[in-house]
Amino acid sequence: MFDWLMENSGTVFVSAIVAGILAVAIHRVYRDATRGKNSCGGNCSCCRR
Amino acid sequence: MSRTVTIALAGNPNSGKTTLFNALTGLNQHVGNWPGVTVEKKEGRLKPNLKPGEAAGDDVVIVDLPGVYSLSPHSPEEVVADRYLADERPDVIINIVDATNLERNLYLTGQLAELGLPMIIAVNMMDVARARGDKLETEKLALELGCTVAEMSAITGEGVQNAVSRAHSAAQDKNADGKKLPAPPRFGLDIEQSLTRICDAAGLNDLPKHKRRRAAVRLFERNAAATRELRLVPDKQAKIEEIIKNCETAMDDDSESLITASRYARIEEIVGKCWVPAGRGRLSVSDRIDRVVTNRWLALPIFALVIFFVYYVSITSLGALATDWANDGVFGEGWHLAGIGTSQYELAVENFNPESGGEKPEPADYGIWVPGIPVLLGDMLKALNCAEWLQGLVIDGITAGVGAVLGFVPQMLILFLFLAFMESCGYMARVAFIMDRLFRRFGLSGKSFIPLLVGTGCGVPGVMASRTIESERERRITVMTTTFIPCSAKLPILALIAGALFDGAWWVAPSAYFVGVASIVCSGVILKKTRLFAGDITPFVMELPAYHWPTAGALLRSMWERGWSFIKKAGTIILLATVFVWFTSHFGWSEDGFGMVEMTESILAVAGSSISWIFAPLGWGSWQATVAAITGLIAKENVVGTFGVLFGFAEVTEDGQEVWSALGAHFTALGAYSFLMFNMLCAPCFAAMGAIKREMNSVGWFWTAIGYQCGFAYVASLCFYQFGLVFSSGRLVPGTVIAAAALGLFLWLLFRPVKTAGGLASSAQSA
Repeated sequence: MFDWLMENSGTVFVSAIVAGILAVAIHRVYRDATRGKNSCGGNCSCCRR
Repeated sequence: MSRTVTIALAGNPNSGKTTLFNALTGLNQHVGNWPGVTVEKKEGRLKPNLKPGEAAGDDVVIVDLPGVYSLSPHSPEEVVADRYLADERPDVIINIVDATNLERNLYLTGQLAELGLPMIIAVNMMDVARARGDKLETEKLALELGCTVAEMSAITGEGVQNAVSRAHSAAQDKNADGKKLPAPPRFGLDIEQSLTRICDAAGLNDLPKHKRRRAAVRLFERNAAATRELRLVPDKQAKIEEIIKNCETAMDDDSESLITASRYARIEEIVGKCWVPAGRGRLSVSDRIDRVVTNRWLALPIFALVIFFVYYVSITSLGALATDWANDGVFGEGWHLAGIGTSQYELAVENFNPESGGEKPEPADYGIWVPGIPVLLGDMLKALNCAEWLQGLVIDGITAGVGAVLGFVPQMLILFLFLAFMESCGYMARVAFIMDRLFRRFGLSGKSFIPLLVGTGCGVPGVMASRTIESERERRITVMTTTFIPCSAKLPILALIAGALFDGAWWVAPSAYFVGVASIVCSGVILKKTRLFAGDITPFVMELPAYHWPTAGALLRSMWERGWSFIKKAGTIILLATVFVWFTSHFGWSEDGFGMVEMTESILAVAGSSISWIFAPLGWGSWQATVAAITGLIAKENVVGTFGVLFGFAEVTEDGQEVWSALGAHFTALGAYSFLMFNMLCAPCFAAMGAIKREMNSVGWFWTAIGYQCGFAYVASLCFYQFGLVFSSGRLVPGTVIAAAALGLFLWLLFRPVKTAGGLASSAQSA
């Protein structure tokens, strides 16, 4: 197991970073949606009725 | 002791409330030099550096109300403003009054004074008025209105601190003894007597003084909401009606007109005492510009030229240079710092012959070479010995997809700058006026053009802006057609097609805008002739604001506001979509089971191929184009991001050729423009679709709108491609026959006679 980790440390390290970035992106999309902000490119958080 | 002080900004549309709000709070709400930019109230906190000394410990909340001409609840904005002021009762009102339109602005001032709230008058655009040579005697005005008057210019910031300081002071005095409250306007003797009688008849005498007077005036105007709020029994209502009728008979006019006329008479008296205008009858600079810009014959050609210029500079010439650098340099192989050595390197590459056995020229030998992001990331991943699939995900997926979209940021920023200038200087308001003439001929009101103006930035607020249209039928047509205008998210598609497939041809980008306008006009005609949308056209009354030079700061802020939203979006929704596209375009089922496969065997290729036949008659029936159009429904930028992943945007060609050449080889010119048309006109992104659903407030209407948009886009692209084929190659195929039938139906819907109450009338007559 340890040998495998050592051999693939680069892959594990970069995968963790990519997974972290994707998690943050999903969280932001979810947070914006729950706050009523659309991912529309406009500054329109007040758009909801 | 710390406490909360609420300051409400109230004023006419386009009087500068949002500019003042942004200056006071440091927020960045969208500002435009046309009425109707703010349709709901917005809140922010006063910037600490603007707090007056005595308010240092206070929490000062600024509320920006929608612009209204009066507090009579006729429009949604008036209801929002009236309800907030009457129910929430802020600590003080800053009534922003446009110095260049004093008489009209003071009408609202009179109604605000009846609310019984502390108020100060902030006379905005004093710089413009002074430049015209007008003079305002603020002390006299303050005496007449019974409240503080402060001169200011929200754009330059002149007098803003003073206005806030005075507003804060006024808020402190509000409960002292009532003397600091503004004086509500007095009406003529007959009306005043009627108001007193109404107070007695309605039993209003127990109410506080300000509430009593406001209620009496509203009852006199036959304001239904006031009758409801006061829960008047029928007996009392009948008595009040009798009082009103007696007054109307005595004064020979209806009660609402009597109040309006009295208010204006008082305003005229005040303005006569306090305002010294520069030479009357002389045309102002704005009037002189308008003589040309809104001229019956010149207006539309000038508008077309302006749009052509804006799109040409931002997408084709200057914008293309910047985007080439971003695409080929930052998100490509790399670039020479300050461009030093680029021409020598390109010459060396051109003269290099691999068969001669010499060494291939290295860019670093000709100047300071900065490698592009894909190169840097690729080297780093190799150095870390990352797995191939991970290298593929990061380089071919994320960098290619997100980079492809971000590569177009320079073009977008230039376009946003132009749009911000046109909005701020006042030209866009003229465009609405110009378009009203055109729209009315085709059954739409000029009011429908305001959402289109907003929609050039983003379709969501564009659809929302349709709320200002009172006629339900016109509002629905506007909601259905607003997203035909190219929004900022569609710009990368436009720039990509113009650059990669038409070699930067000058006409491609402006033509997309005109295709959008033409589609709106045609849709207006077609839909208005159906029973669902038939009806009279709402009159469009709009004030044309004076032209003014916007400040560089305001323009840059507006540009950045839109640009930053776009960049943020690339880091969230586009990023996730490109990862999805990369995964589904590189993985699939083969003989060995599920795993990485050739792209043509991937999940995406299989799914795309199964439906790509639908788009084959439009000239782009490949699975790549099909999935790009579909991913565009998540966000329109995804069309470019998907192409980036599928056509290996990040794989830099060894000979330094255009990174988009693979895409160029995939489309014919006709097919490419047809693809562009379809993506410009079809259903918008999910966010805009959500806005359409909310505004339609009905599932049936929502699907009608989406179905109409997709159907219209399909027919327009089909006709363009099929007739283009006939004209370019003389070939007639089955698709041509279908296109001819679709065109015939379209023309019939466009020109068929419309049934009116008086019988049949041709479309021309009805216009």
